[in-house]
Amino acid sequence: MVLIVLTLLIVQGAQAPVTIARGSASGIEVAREVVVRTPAEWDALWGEHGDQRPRPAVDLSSQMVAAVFIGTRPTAGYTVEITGARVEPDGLVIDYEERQPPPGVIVPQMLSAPYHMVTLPHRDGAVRFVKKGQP
Amino acid sequence: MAARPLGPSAARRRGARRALVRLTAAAVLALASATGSGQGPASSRTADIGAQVPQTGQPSHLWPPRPAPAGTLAGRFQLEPLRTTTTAPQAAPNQILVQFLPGASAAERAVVRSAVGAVEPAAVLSQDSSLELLPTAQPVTEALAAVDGLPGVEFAEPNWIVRHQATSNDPYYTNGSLWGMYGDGTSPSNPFGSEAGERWAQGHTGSNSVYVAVIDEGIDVNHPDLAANIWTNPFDPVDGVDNDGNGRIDDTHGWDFFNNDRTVYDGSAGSPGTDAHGTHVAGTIGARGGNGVGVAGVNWNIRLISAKFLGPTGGFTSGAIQALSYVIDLKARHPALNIVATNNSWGGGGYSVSLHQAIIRAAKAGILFVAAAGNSASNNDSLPRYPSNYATNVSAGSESAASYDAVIAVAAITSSGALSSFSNYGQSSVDIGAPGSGILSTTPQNGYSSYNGTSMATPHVTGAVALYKAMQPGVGAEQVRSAILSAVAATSSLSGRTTTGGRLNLGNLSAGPLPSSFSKLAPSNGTVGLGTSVMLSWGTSSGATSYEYCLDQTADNDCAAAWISTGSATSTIVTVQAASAYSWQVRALNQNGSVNADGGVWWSLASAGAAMYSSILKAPQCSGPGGFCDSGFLLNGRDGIAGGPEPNQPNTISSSCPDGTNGQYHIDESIDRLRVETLDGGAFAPSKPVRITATVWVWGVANNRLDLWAAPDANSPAFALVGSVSPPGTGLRELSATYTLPAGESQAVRAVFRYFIGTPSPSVCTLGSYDDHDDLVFSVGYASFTDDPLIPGSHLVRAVHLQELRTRINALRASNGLSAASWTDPGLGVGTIIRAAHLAELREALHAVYVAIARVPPTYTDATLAPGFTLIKAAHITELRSAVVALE
Repeated sequence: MVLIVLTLLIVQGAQAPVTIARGSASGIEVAREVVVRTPAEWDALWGEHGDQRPRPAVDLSSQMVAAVFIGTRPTAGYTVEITGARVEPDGLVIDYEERQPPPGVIVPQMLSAPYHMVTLPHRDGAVRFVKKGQP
Repeated sequence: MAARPLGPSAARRRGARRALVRLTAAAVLALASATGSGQGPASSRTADIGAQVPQTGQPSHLWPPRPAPAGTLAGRFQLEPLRTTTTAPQAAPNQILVQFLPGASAAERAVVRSAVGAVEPAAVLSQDSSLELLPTAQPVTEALAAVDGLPGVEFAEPNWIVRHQATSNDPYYTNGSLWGMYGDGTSPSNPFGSEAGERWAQGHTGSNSVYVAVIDEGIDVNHPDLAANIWTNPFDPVDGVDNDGNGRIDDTHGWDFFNNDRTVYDGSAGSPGTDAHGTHVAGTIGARGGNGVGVAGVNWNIRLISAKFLGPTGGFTSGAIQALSYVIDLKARHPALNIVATNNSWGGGGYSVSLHQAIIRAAKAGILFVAAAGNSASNNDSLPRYPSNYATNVSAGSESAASYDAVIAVAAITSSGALSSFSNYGQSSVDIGAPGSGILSTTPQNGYSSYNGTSMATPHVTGAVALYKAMQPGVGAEQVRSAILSAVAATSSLSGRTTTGGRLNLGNLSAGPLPSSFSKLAPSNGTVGLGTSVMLSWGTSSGATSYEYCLDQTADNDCAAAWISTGSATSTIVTVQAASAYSWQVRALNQNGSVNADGGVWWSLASAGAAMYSSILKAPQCSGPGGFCDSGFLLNGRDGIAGGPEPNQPNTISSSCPDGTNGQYHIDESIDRLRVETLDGGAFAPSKPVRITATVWVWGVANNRLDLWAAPDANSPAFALVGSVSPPGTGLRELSATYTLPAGESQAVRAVFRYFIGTPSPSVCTLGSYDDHDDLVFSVGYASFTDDPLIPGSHLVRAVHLQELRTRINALRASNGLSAASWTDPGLGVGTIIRAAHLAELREALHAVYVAIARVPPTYTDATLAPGFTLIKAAHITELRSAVVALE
């Protein structure tokens, strides 16, 4: 019985994010971590993001969108990646990581605003974002 | 409406791009419409033949970066508010114009001048000295009030500042988004812009003889606002061979050092961010201007070479060295490539001796190195940034110093003249400021985006280098750099933060006194039928130190070939190819720049066999009978499509068949050239086999077909199908078919190059929106004779002369319902003595034809032939020949 419960917890605990948009030129230029659960929120976020491409279709009855915008960076070469999601006792935890251009690498001298948007299974309740290297 | 079919993966990718092209074009046109340019909606897409397939819809993941709606650009990477002013009439300060009444006395004039504090007029502006420009320390309104009603004054008015007409019709220029190109005298205006617009208004829009290399990410070479200015390597055609021996096979538009391949653009509809930075930079330097589309670069005409070394994750010093070395080698290997600068909107890494050496080598090759100062808001004097901190007037390792510093380090400013918040600076290490905040330019997949960075400031300066070089082709790299830096507008935000203390200002570039205007003399404009050796001559221009001519095989009034100096000579002999049309221009140069002859109007000339456009027939036409007829560049492109509008389109007789209006030049279908020639190399004549060759741009092998048609009478064309040809591959192809010339003095051929779905069935005028139709008119003489012309004293009359007359007279008899004549000595041949009887029966047989068709028969020399006495002469044969030809 104990083994079955543990197995269920493991299965439920790891949730694989599916990328729907990622890039370096968001119109959202101030760092933000967002979870979207309704069509209205999704419309608003995509509009603020400023991408001229059509908003990706997401079935928000069964999924939700998690997005990380890290704000303006001085050059190209910066990226952000949502690396995983897990269920903890206090709610859903979304892990992400910002990467900088490696030392010595040459990059375009253009301001960038990296972002990453993913879908996850819909889940109510608290969500906490954890940036790698930070508690 | 029908979309192109989505079949194999390649076709699907192409189809996807079609969707992008159409959708984005619609967006641009909508913007143009919104800004008053009056363009209509994008045209529908139709295939000319076969079943219509359903609209596929727009895949959601394929939408490209699109132009932001007018007035909303501030929402995307717009750190500082964009300031653009609309133009209201402005008066020159401290001046008024006063018109005195006739007979106004000197005393009255003195009182008026005194009223505004003027001792004497600044200028007398009329022949009768009644209009004076008066200086005043008063505000203009007060000065006008002061003289109002004074005795002797007819009226007084402000000295209005006359502003240039906005010369750019590009919608993002006219709607106020392109502040970096504006000046205080443009409309819209912005005093902190580069003032490129003011140079355009003076006719300085760059030159296709000036080359700039973009060392960066790649460039979307198909972007409709860039394609026409992208360099296409004439020295290494696409054939899988390194034709020019530079170690790069088929480096058509440059080279990709990141991936080490010839494809300088690696993006797609699904990855519009790929090569976005390089494409953006390229657009600021040289997006096509005045084309009513998108943006305008500092140079409307230029050649952009892509030297890609930055990929999605950046790049390395080794790649930068490879890219720069490639550019240096190009210039050394091909001196006609007038590469004046490289644009370097990148940074990172520490000092590199190897890169420093490469930059010095570039300097020694006369190539300036324009570099971004960096985006870390720091002082480059104390914390050096590379590559902008390199200097070429110092040595690096074994590389000795160049004689001058070729590096221009560029900081970024905002539309209100402030140093951009992110921009690096340096009183001794950064040279100049330029627009770098809120810069709109081209991005891949027909997009436009606004970016910020010293990356964006740098191409404004690189563009200025190229524009100045186009204005003053005789000056060297060191002088160009000096001129750019000397012409800055003093800017408080840059004082103490740059070596010049100022911002880029193209309007301040001094051209100095130019040579006087002059004219071309010969051959006069439109001369055709020239031999292959032609003397060009022109008048003298005072102040000129030398002249250069350009003989070009394009019709864009720009020199795609090379300007060639004649020193002080005002004539030169050039060699032209047979059956070729050219345009030519001469310019006079002095130390300040150049002046084109005839106000910049190019003249055309054509060798024998080259077609010229007939405004009567509305199609290219070759004059005089010959053995070939070639349209040259007259058919290049299709309709008015982006990047390649066809001159005089549609080029079908009497404009009888319009071209399709969808697509882009050299992506979609077009007929670029049409040629007709005899197979035997002789003159056009009835019954002769001829070949029609069409040079076409093939979009897709399975969906393109060339139909060739011919008509015996160009003035009333009834086209008959010669043949249909399937292309063997995509891209530029020569397709041909042969047929036998019918009789007719002025004949025509038509090429129909079409896009079809399903089963193709030829039509002389298809309706597909990607179809091109072009005609070529040529003269056909008569079938030639042996020894034509017969020269008295040189040619003896021979049996063959009689035999061919017999054949043709009997052909005439047959075509007019007469029986074949019978001849004396039917086996006429070598050894047969030519007698009067032979000639007499020819005359008689032909006479019957004239009578049969109620034509007045000809009269002949020696009307009565006397057997045994009349010697058969060349003249006898010649007049019979003429009589035969008159009926043929």
